[in-house]
Amino acid sequence: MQHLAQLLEKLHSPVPMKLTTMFRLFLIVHIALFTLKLSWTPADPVRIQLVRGAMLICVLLSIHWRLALFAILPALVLQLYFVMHGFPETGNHKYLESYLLILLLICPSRPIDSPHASSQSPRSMTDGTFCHLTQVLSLSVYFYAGIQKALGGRWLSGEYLTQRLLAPVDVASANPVNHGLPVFLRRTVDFISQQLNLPSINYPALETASSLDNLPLILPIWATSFLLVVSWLTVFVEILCPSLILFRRTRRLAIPACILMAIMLGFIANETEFMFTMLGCLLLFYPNHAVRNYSALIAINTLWCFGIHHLDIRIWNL
Amino acid sequence: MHQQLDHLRRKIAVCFASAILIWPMFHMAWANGYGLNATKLSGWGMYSVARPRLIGVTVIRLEGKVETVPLASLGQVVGTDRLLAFRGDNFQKLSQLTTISPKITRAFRFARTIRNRQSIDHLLQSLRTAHGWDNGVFLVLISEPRLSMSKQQSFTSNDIYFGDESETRFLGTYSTDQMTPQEILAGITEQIPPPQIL
Repeated sequence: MQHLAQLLEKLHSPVPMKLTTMFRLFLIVHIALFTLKLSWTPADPVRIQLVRGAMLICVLLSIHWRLALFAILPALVLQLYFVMHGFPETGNHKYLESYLLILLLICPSRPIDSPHASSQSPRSMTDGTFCHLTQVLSLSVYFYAGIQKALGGRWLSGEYLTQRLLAPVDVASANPVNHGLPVFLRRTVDFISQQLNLPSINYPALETASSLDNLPLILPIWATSFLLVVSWLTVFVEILCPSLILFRRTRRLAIPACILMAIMLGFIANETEFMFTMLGCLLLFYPNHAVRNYSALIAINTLWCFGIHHLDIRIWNL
Repeated sequence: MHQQLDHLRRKIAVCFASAILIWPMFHMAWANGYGLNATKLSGWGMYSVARPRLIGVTVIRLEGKVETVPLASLGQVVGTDRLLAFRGDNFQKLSQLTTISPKITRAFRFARTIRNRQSIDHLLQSLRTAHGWDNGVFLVLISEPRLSMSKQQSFTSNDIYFGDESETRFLGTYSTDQMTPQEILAGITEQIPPPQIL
């Protein structure tokens, strides 16, 4: 009981005001950037511009804690709209962003006097409940992803990656937004085959749609072994990286390892939207450089979004 | 006053976050045991199974007469023709209907995300109400493309349901690496006797 009380006390311990402010700003910018994608859906262009304009106002409002409520609420409404629009096949990042917005809404955000604050800025701290809960939540996401891969039965046998490798994708013209992983796997396997002079792969025309006919897989043994090793490594790393935080000696390694993993998985699977959300959460572990870190993340996210959606940059076609 | 409010807000936040942290455990159990897609509904098993869009939903309407319904490849299992000697009924496939009704599209999405009797029942109800098929008898296949690494071949895992006016019945999971389409046909025919001819 005493341990629980200590844990809760730690959970509520104050954090720099700048940290929550910058995270809030990042999250609202991140959601606002998603509205650039609205042109993909057949909707009224005037409404789309209104939504974009409203989100721009939300970005400005999110900077000050007193006005943040008026930024978080519309962003949450927009997120819940997206959740319902795709339900039950909504992407998981939409749920994660909604949870973060709800937590931002619930947790206290006003400045507090803290004995740890410097004398020059005595009210530069705020309640740390949001930050600490988000830290735990972000680590749990990768941990559960690894556990589910291990228990689900498709990764430890190498089935999932083999299936993605053999997915019928036209590598030259494929849109990596939808086919990131198959394109990456093909490029990698072909590269290894060329460099090491190993037997190349003739990709069979497997049906993506289910078929009652069983088709043979013609994969060289080296490719099967390679996919098996990569599968095991992925599962191992996804479980290990968040777990490192539990041990004092490895704690310093945990967050850089998770950041590296988030970036790698984001680019390989082309899940950059999820990647940016996770990076935003993981940067909460670095309270001392909040302004620098989040400014850089916001800038990269914005440039990336414009690059992908307006200049049609495709990762695996570069 | 502020402190009391903050205290309450913190409590609510901790409860909410605890629920988010516990939910994936239930989700995993549901996904691994009862046919929920592990990548959806806020379970964090991203990329652990095939995307729902790869999961086929084939609805076959069985009855004494054949109505003309255009066929399409959307969500259709290739090779189901060999299952259609089931009960000796005539049949029609309804895949094309998904494109004409948002309600049916949503029901299809539910069926391939949450593979259970309720979602199939909901799908059949939406088909019945949209097209006035009060007496329709249906066979539904939820099919997932799989690979057998030991046998070095692709196969399909099929959850097969039978629905008539009174109930929707789960007939079993039939994998094509274990059974031929003829054996699957025999397996499902055994469970549903042919209709009584008056």
